[in-house]
Amino acid sequence: MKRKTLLFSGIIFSIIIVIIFTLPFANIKKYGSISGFDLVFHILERVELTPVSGSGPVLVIISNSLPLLLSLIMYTLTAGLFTVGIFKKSKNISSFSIFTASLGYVLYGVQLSDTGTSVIEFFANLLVKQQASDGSYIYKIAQEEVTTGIGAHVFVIAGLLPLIVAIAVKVLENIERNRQDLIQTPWSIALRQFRRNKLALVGMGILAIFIILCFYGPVFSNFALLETKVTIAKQKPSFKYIFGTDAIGRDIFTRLMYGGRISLTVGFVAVLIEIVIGTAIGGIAGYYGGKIDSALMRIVDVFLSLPYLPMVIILGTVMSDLDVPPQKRIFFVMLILGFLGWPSLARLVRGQILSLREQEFMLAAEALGLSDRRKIARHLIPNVIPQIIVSATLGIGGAILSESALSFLGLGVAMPYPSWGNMIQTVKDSYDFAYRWWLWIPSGVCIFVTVLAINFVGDGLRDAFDPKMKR
Amino acid sequence: MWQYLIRRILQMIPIIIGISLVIFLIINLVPGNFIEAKANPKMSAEQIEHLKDLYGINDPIPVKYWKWLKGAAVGDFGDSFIYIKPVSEVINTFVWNSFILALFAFILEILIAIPIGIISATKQYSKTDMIFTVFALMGISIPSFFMGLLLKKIFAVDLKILPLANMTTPGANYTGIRYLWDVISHLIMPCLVLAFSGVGSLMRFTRTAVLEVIKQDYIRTARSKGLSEKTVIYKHALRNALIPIVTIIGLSLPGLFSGAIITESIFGIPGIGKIALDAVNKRDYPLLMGFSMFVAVLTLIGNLLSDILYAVVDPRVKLK
Repeated sequence: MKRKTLLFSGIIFSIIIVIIFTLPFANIKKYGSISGFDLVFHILERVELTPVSGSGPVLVIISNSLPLLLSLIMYTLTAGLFTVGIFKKSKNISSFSIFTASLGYVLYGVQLSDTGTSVIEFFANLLVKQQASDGSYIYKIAQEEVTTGIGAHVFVIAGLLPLIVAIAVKVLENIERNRQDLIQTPWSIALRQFRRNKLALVGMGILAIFIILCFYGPVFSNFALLETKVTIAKQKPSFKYIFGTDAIGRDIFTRLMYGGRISLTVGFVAVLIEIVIGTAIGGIAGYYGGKIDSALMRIVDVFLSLPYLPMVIILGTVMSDLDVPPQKRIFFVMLILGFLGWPSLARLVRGQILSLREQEFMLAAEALGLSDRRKIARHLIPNVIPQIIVSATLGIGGAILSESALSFLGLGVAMPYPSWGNMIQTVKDSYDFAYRWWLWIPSGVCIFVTVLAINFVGDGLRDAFDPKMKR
Repeated sequence: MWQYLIRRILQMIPIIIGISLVIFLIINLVPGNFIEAKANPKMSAEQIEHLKDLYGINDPIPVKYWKWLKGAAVGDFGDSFIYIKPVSEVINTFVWNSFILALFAFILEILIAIPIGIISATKQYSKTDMIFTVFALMGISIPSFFMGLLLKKIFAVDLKILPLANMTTPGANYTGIRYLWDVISHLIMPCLVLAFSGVGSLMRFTRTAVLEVIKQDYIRTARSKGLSEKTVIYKHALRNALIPIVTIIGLSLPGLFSGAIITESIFGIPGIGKIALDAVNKRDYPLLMGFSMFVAVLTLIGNLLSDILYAVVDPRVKLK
């Protein structure tokens, strides 16, 4: 039964993929549409399009869809794995296919977030080819109205199907296996504890919805991110503009999705920086002890006592005074938050390692003559991972809050790029503040709900990893 | 005890110098300066340079730092560019507004957080526990500026029952009880914002502390003696659970003076946080430096205070 389902879904997916990639990915006004295969198989090449009516300049498309190609490969692999799954009964097939399907979907998200101004930049750069007076060709950046095609729309939805099927198969397998033998590892215990926590599961759900909406949602929006239309400025929410339009006529719902993308990315990357610096310094201090420890810990003490918000604001001002261009400010915000956030993690890791160092398994590692690096990386750090995960999860929420405060003050992510924080800046106009709620309340609610969901998850993880909290 | 105190204070000195160095470097990374931020377009370049010399802006960073450090050692933190007064005097003027606001918020926070923390712990995993946990996490998750704006929109703009901003009604010279009510009505919203953002962590902390105590053997003994649940919780468990809670309260006490940059700015409270944000915008380095050091030292004092309180309330702990 299960094998037949797998074979069936494998074939279905292959067909769906082929259909998706022959459908138009983008529609260009006056030039018709361009299909997924056109984009994928002409990476970094020039595809020339002539206007449908026959007259007018030739449009040149330079496809930059490498992530899309990789994503296609991953999906082909997934379909292949499903097919293999019928002939070989291997436990790993479903895990592999979950991995390939999710990687394919994430890669597609990478393709989508590699964007600046208009829909076509998801997939390609647009140029207009013109003949100069001396006969040579010159290329100009095209100003064509482009919307995403049906192919991209189907991809975003159908791309989730293989993942769902693979997870379903995995769950079925697990239920079967659990009846046979039950081996408890610390991770499986933690997972079980986590599953019992309703709030944490709700948080996971909300977070998943927000991530999918922010990273994949803009495909369905036909409003360009930076395009302005003053004639439709500050319109009330309507069927066409779900949350209305902002002061220069941009669709707020679209900006919310892009802004969420930026806010979430800043949060994740800032915490990643924190983890790298904090774990390295905490690990070294805890493991070597003595003078290295006390020297590093004095530095940590200094950084821990720095007033966090004033320092973030001052560094934001530094960024403004140095005239950092808006595209790069996003990265500087990540660096600032990461740079100021690592000390508490370093202290946590150090404390854990100090106590782990004295345990018997480290004596065994010593007796085996393992190198220092191996002892830290393979035996000490893995034992601190639960604490790091908990602190990192809660840290993401904190980083998103700091970013929003900084951007709200006009010192973080800057216009024209939206972030949930800088969209609330419209309250500076007291009439907008008092009477045009749709300009600022939706983005505030987005910050609130996202951070709340992250805190639910973090709280659930803390309870799940804490042996004292066992139910 | 005294020996411990003196040693701790001596240990703080190198840390304070380190902090001042880091803050000084970060502040001086800012290329803009006070004169250029408020320069009169009529002034010639020479005049601007002359003014910069007068304000000591043109000195190289090590010289500037050495000057600052020498002054700070004898309690002179320089003069604020904006207020043309010694920094310590400016801080002293504005810190009390911040303190009043923070104190009310802190009292409110304790009054909410500790009871619901205890109730949550005694009814672990119940519906009540879940509702309180959600409430607490909501407080941590809402950006303070957004909550401030929402409250302003609801209570000041739509319902018109609370004043929009400032600490007193401008131009109105109320006296006596009317003055008091005026100040209170201005402080209600900022207090709510500050208290709500603090409730979360204090409530979670209380819950964990009470849970730890409830699992102890002596609580089981108390229960098996046939004591009522009320006596067990409020007489036996709570006293021991209060030990870590008191320390955390001690840790936050000095923070009452450090101001709330965002909340004060949103509600126009003339406190130290708002002054600090102005100082950033106008590049008033001495004031900014003084403020940052003030907050950093408060943090250090908070740590020390919580360690001492820990020994005071828990006789099992001895400071060495």
